[in-house]
Amino acid sequence: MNHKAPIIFNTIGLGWAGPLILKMGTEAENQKYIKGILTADDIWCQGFSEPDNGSDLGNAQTRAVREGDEYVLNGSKIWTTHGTYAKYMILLARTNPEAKNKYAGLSFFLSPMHAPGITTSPIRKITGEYGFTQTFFDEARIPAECLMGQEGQGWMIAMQTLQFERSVDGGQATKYNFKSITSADLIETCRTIQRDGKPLLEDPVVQDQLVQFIMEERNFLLNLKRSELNALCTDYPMSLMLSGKLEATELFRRMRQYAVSLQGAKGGLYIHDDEALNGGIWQHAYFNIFSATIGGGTSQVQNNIIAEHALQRRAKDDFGKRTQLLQGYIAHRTG
Amino acid sequence: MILESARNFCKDTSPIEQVRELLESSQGYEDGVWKQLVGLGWTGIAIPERFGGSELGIEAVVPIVESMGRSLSATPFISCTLAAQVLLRAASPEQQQRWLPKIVEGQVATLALLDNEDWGANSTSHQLSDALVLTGEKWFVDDAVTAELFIILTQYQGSPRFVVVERNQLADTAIQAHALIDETKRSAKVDFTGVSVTADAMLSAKNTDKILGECKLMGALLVAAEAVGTTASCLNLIIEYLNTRKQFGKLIGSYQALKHPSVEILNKMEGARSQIYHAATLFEDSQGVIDRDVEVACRMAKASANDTLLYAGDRAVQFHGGMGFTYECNAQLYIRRAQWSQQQFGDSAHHRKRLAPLLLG
Repeated sequence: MNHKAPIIFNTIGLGWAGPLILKMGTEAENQKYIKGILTADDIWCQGFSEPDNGSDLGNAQTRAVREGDEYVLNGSKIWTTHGTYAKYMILLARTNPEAKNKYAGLSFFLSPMHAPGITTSPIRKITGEYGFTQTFFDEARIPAECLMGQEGQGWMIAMQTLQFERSVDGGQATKYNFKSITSADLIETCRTIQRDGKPLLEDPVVQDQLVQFIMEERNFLLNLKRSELNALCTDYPMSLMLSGKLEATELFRRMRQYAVSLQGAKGGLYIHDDEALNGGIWQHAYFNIFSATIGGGTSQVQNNIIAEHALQRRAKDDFGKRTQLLQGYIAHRTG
Repeated sequence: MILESARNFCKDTSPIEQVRELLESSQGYEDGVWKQLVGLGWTGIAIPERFGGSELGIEAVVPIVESMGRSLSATPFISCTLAAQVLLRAASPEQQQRWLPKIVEGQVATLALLDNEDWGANSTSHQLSDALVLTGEKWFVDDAVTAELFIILTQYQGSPRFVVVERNQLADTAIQAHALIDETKRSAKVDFTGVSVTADAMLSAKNTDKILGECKLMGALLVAAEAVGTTASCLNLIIEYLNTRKQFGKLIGSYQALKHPSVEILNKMEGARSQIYHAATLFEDSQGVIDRDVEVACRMAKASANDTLLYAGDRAVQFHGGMGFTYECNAQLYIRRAQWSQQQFGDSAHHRKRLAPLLLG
């Protein structure tokens, strides 16, 4: 269990940027980037969220202004995983502030990180560790060929990226997490803990909760299977796809929190304490899971997206017009 | 595909106005609809061809009951299916030949298992004497009013035993309808006291406990499938209302306090639906043999479906506001069905308790 690290190195390159380039990139982009991603020579990071624009990603304000053969970047991105190590960034920036709506003004870049005017500043996480950065762009110049697709297509490409990120097309947020810590690990942990002088696993209240977790875990795995059988998904054809990230990450958050609660006095210990259960992995994993319930679209935003899908299925009205994020999903799923 | 044709049939034969109309009827369904359903071959779907059935398994019954649940259509279909399954497991070839073709042809059969509220007990206080005379009442005998065949769990010479009693052996006063929380369903208290059973109406003495357990698992799965279907239409009701009702100048569906729980219903329902199809698939794979995996799947399906419909019915009432508190609002049909369904063949805690040794051992 101790080796089940919460994140694999170059996850953004392997999980999101690579698949994106393979799916939508030009031949030249494929030639330039894919090999380095696979060999992990080139670490990638993601520049989507900004300090003032997180859930409302479409409102991103980092500017990219075309000047001759270059774009000039100004602004700031945040929650940049691997920002310190990365050679490249998938970057969402505003090329046209006057566009007909906020989404249409965005463009997508495969930007170098090592350029004058691009600096990173580490951010300490809730776990106590460092892992991501804030990235600053101060009159930074990158080659114009870094633009992916056309100007104005940034939102569309970003939505495709989010599909990989939210595991719609098999990324890390769901399937990967199921390889990290499962109910089987929780059960093993319960064998080693004492409550009322007996192994915790013998406590019927705990047993009941464990069974509930196992059922939810299986729900998720069975949903994955069923989502491949269209005839069995007719009511809300998108719901399994849209809900995977929400369901998996929320289940893991609750399971990990529970794993801390059941440790008795040891639940008060943290990593680096010699007496901490399993080296404090549950405590650490619990804190870390918030990266998944918040990152890639918070659970609350995911709820909105699924709700709007469900509501749209039942009525064609104003809801539809306001759910561009969802429409981005649908366009790419069916397109 | 069975799911699609079942869904269409139930939609056509059980519109909500019809469900409402049948609430006060004594048998709870229309003979004409039952005849059509028999004509489609559904009563024989899980019965071997030699008795006139189509020899599919319980897996083929699942999408049908799911569709019935969706339309709140109350027929004796589940009762008949389970009764036939007990006969297939416990009756001699002669007995099967005597009763199963009748069930295929639409004669209503039902189970009389409980004599108290306890789904967890395998014993019964019901007695069959050495002289083959029954003593005792059975509770929660579904569809008793129209049933021609009753498969009774009784106690004979100290051991549990299934016996079959036909309607003409009962006095009219023997059947007393229960006042059910779910007015779409029909169930009764039946007093079998004084009924003489012939030896050829006693089912095999072997494996009664095992067959009873299997019957309860199949029942749990079918009620789960029905509940998943009911949840789907309950969610539709909620969403219709969220899309039409305005307060503070906005559709109430725009408020996250209503949207997010609705998503929770949807997600729970999707999970429960995967569970029932998974259990059905395992039944197909095992050709009806109920092994550990099938047991786990049935219990998970029932526990998931229970919790889902309970939540959906409860929220349907709440989200309809003042209207939700009225008998006129259809939310009442769902909250009532939820309370009924959760208890059939065991509530969620009942199943989780039995899952614990299977999963945590």
